[in-house]
Amino acid sequence: MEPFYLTAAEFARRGRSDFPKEESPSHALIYSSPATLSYNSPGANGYGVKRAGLAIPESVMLLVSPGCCGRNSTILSSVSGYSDRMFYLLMDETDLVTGRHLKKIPQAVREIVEVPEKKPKVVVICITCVDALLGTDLVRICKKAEQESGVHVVPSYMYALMREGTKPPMTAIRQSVYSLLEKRPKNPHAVNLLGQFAPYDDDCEIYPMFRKVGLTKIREIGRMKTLDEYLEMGEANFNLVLNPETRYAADDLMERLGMPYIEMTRFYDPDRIAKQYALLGGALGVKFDDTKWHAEAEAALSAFRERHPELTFAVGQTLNANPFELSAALLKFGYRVERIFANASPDDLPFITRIANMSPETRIYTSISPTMMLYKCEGSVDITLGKDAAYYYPDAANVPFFSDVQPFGYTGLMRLLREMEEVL
Amino acid sequence: MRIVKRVLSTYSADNFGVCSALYELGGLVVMHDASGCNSTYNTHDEPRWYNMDSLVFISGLTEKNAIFGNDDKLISDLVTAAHEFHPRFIAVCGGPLPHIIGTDFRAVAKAVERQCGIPTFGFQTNGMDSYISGAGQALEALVSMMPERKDDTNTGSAKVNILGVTPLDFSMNGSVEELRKLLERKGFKVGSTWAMGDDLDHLLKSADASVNLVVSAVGLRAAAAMEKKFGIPYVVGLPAGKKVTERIADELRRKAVCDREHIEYAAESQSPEQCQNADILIIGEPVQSLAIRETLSVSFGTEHTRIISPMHGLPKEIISLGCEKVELEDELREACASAKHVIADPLYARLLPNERDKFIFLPHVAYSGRYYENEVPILIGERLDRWIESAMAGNL
Repeated sequence: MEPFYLTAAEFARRGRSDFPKEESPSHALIYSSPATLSYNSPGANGYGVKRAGLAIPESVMLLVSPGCCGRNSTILSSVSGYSDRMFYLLMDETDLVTGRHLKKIPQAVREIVEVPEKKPKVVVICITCVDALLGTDLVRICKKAEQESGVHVVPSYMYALMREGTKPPMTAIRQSVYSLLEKRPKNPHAVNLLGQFAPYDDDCEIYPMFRKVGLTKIREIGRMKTLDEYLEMGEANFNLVLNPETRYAADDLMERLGMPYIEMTRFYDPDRIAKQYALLGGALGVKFDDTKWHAEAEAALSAFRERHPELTFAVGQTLNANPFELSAALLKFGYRVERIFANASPDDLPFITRIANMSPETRIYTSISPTMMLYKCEGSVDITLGKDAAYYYPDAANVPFFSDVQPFGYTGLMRLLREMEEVL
Repeated sequence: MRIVKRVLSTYSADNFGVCSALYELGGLVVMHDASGCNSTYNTHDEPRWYNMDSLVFISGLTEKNAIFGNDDKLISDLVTAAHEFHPRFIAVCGGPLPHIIGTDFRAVAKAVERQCGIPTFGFQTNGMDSYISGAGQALEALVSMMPERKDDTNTGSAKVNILGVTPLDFSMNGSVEELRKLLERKGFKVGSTWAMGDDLDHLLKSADASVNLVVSAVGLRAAAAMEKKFGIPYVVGLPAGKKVTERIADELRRKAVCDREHIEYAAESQSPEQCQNADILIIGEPVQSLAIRETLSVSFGTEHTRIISPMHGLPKEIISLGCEKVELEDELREACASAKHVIADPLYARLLPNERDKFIFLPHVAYSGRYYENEVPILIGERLDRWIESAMAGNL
């Protein structure tokens, strides 16, 4: 038996109407392939729900869950700087049957607020799948806890059970972390970058380009040091959504605060980056001058191609990029992409179609399929992108390209080229 | 009393215990739950994950299937995977969600076994009990796969099975190999090792052992099942510490040739009252902790040592030897504060950040996961004496 894959051509041909059911986690048993091992509790690489919830400045989190759901949080938080921000209310069997744990939450919040030397200003309550099934009204409980403790209490939901619904956990937590924003007088010079929990690279062209057109107050949750700073995000004239998982939060902000949003996609193809800035400028009624960065990115790309005219890639999904968009860009640069290890969604089809046009035989492996256990390292790959791809090709050069601080735009591409240069 | 855990972790859960115990045996092992359980197990509790393939999967329970109690999907997925991978056996266990909806794993197992003809086990785990319960159930289930012994093949030579070894208690630091070598040096033939570094066929043929050695609480249920099924007596104790090892070896020899009716605990019991004011507190796995206490007593003259084993699902007989179960953080802090020395996983030192010097670190994978796995010492045989001498130099 072979591990399940489709060639890019097959994938593209099937389209939305015959989208492979193997890509759905509910189709069969799930293999925790290396692609799913992001070690993403508080304190490790990447952001899971718990670490993401702590993006609100001056917040702590109370995780209310059975032992098996919370075990990793305490271990990692203890050694990675979150030890004073994670608290845990362990559920037992009686709690599950009677819902008794819900009555304990206000007391638990009082304990958390009373004890630490530095009193938190926000307590984020995180509940898990069991409460999804119990139909817990966490908003009501948070209100009660807020009244009793005198601090903000924010509900959040780690409902893995709903990962295929309209509001999967990483979408829900993005709504939670912006839920404390309140309506403030609009500042026409203010914009929020929504999408990530850590900031974008300091040298990202967005900052100088935006400032040049008068957007001088550029705010991101990852740069907010205090709750007061965070609350200033409520004055933004609009939100720029840089990750589709933030769309739900942006809709919520539009509804609650009347804050409109524009969405941008993270591309690694400089032509697309340029086109997107032009479209954004058109929507805002300004013209972004991206000439300098565009030229630098093209020059860096040319130099890289000169030094490495022929490379074969394997691309994973544990990286700061959409693996399909990145693969399409690499193919356009003239490289070969032999393998992609990633779970695709119908939204990825435009990229997959581009891949199919340039490299129809590129194989797209479904990383959660149990059959991935049978994967044998074959073919010649020079470089892998993402640590999951490195697992399958351990002898190839690897660029993990998976940092908290996020790449974007031309500078994102230049960073990728630099990191690849370092390992080649 | 405060109800929030601020600094402490929880022990590995029962569903993870099932997976850990069966990992090397060629079975298909499935946790039935939404997701998340799998990555916690793989990343934190399974040091073999990157280097040794095993058919451990999660079912990916959805909201709809949970609400409608659709067990057919689980059964169908298990049967499909069984046809693809041809496992030696199938094991299915649950996390908290199936516990709420009352999934009957034994019934699921029967249905799967009927459809694919592969021995299938269902474990009523819930993600809240400790690994001791889950791993114990898993090893016990394997006993049911063992064929009946045709005749009494005991030849009088002492053949010993080692029961209850998983990386959760023994890490991957060579302790298990050391354990085997030690028993061989003591003149025993080592039969099977349940269940690290061994294979299923070997385990299933191990009913010819003269005696079983239970080296962790995980092995107790399998030992009791083998005693019932094959009349194999067992000794409970970890051969750690020179004198404790001698005592265990003596008990094993005695059990191997006579007195086959009884169970033996290679530790003296101490009542909690005797231990309340003890200078030394051990927090950890009970059988290992008992070996350390015995060694402290017989080799270092320490009169009383308090043992706290904070995990759920401890067998009563272990508790009766003087292993207390204390779970609340404040009570554990109090216990640590009143002891002069605390032998425990490094995470426990967070209870008393200003008194870290009193802690002697003994990392336990079942508690702190893989975080300190490279620092887990081998305590088998005389190594425990040396570890105590070095760790507690001048303090005893």
